[in-house]
Amino acid sequence: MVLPKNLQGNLMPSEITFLAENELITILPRYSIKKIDLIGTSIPNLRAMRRELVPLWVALILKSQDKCSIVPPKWLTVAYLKERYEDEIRKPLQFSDLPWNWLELSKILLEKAPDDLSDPVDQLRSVIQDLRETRLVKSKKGLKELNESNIQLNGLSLLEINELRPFVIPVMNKLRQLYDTTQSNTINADDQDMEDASDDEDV
Amino acid sequence: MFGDTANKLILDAKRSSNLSAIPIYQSDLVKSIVRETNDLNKDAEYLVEEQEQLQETQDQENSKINQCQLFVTHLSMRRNKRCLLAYEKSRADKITEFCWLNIDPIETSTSSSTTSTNTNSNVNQSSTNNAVNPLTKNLSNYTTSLDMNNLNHHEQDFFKQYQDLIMEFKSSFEDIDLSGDLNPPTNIFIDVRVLKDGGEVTTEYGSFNLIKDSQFFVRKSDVERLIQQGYLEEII
Repeated sequence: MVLPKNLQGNLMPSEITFLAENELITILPRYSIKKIDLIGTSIPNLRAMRRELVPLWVALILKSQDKCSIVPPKWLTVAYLKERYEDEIRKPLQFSDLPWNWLELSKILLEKAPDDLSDPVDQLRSVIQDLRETRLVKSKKGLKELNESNIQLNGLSLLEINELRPFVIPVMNKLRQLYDTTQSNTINADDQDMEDASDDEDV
Repeated sequence: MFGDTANKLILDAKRSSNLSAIPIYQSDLVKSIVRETNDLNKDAEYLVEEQEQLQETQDQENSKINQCQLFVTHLSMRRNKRCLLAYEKSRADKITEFCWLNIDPIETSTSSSTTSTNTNSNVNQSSTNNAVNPLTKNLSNYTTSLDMNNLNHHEQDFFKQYQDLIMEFKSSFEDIDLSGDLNPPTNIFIDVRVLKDGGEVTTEYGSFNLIKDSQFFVRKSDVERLIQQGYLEEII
């Protein structure tokens, strides 16, 4: 196929980052910039020290040129993430409520805009790592429940789903195939029984 | 038994499925499989004839045996066909993958003019002569080098025609470089290091000279093709 094997059926981490960069984020511009119309979105008129919503990739370009500071999202604070962590511990059977791209966003922001965050970066990093590890343990436990019909992944983020996908989908497909063949066999056997029964009646 | 040689061919295809180059075409194996299939076909024809005779004489017992023989012969032929097709398909897939990567194939015997498809970066004609064999990059899971001598005649034809097809397809989307890098863009400008001499290169922002181990700060879209060809390396 045109697409190489390793890109078929799964996303690369860089592609997930790319998707996450389309998310809107609030910035505090330091200069005034006129409105720019792009194909997909448009960047509104920026005025110094006036909060504005722009796509993350624009914010990152402006940030790299020191033309804005990024307002971190509400969930990217040590207090909030600690609370989520407690949640994770308290509810061993479900994932706590986090944005679908919390991992990528926090990685990008911690890397590119560490000075704009309200909490110290090292604390944030450690609590994010804790969250990630507990969630990993949970998703690994969840793999024991794999069956041929369905799987429930409420609250998993895109990156976490993506790293499960190459394992979960083939296994579920195999299970489904096994199930289907046994199922059709039993149906055939039933039919046979019915036929036998009708034969008996005829006799 | 029938199908053993075909199995060898399949094992070969499996072995080469993860290689970055296309190994030499197994013409001997393929020939012996085709010979086997021909023999099987002769058997089948003979059996069909006999079947007709048996049907005339109403010999039920022998007719059944004959039918069974015919069936097994057909199955063996079909298995051979399946193995041959799988082998050819695996090679064809690798060739098409290589075509899309946009690297020039290695040609040792014939020094035909390299068909370079770059639009805004032109390596000088003098420099292409001493760099006929492009440095192959180590991309995992990609087919990155292709020796034209390893392909058989039909595959060489297929390769050329597929390249023409790609060119035709790309010309209908002139604004987009369809065979470009598949990684999403990150930075507009990047640092690159020159891995091997390549003469003078012209980009939209003027020209620069490719001297080994020198570094440049350039627009990524200008040098993408040179990175693909292995002249440059991105510094992160």
